[in-house]
Amino acid sequence: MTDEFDTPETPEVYVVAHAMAALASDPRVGMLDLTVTVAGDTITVTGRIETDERRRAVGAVLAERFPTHRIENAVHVQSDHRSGGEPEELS
Amino acid sequence: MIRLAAVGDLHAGTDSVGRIAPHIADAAEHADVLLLAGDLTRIGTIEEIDVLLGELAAVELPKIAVLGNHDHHAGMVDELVERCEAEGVRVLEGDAEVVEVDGGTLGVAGIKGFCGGFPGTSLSPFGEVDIKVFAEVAHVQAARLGEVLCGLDTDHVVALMHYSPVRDTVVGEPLEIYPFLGSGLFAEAIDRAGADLVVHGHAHHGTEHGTTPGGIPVRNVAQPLIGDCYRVYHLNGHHRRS
Repeated sequence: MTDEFDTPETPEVYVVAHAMAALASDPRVGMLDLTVTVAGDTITVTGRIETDERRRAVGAVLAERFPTHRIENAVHVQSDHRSGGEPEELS
Repeated sequence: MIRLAAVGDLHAGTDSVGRIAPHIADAAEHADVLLLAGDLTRIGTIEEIDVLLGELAAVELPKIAVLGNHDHHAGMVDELVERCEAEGVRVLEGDAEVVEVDGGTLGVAGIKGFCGGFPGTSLSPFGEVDIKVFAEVAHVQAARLGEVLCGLDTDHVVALMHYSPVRDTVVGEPLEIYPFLGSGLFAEAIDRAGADLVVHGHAHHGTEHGTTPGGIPVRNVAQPLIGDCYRVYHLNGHHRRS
């Protein structure tokens, strides 16, 4: 696997696999559950992430790994978790 | 009655300072014990666990955890456990912790769990040595969890895991990755030993509620799934033995 292999001509399924592997293994991200899709020269990543810093890291990792693709970073930052919630009664 | 607060997959990073504590600090108002169902950190570094422990310091409850796959990534498991235990977070891996609260005694049997899939489509220890070694991990761990559960003589018993023991609570994830989300061998061990509740994480896009084939409630408390910073369970009545 080389960088020049991942061009817009590379079969999309390989680009998806390489992108997901990069997001999992790069210590700036370390996430396994983001969704990556590829259409032509555009890589789109979606999902939920905790902080703006991690969202920016997602874009940076993909831009470095796939310099000839356009990166659409559609990851959503969600950090406003609700506290508690109603208890569940179990017998 | 014993009150449990539980959450998994907090995935603390160095950028999590001040982001977890405000939402979890009030757990002591609603629960007697806090259970952490693995993936405490993003990639399992000392810096990350220190951030999490700082966030949890305000939670004045017994805190019991298992580690998850993310916590293993940096290869610093021993150091993470040491840090947790020093800060009052008991980390279980094939062992148990007993907590006495006003509502009685609670036994928590904890283990990370492993991959392998669920009945009907699970991996068998057959063929190449590599396959046997991989499949055997879940067999050994499930047997260990069963032993630990059987050794508990408490009013209530909870099994705490990271990976799922049942298919129910991974539904919603891509079907292709079910075998990487848990193993049904653990449900069988839990059903044989008996428990009041199983709590796990890992499947961020799974389903919150499930049961073992023997009827024991299973709850997926992965934080990205539940949305809340923790779930609260009230254990009433007496411990059920199969």
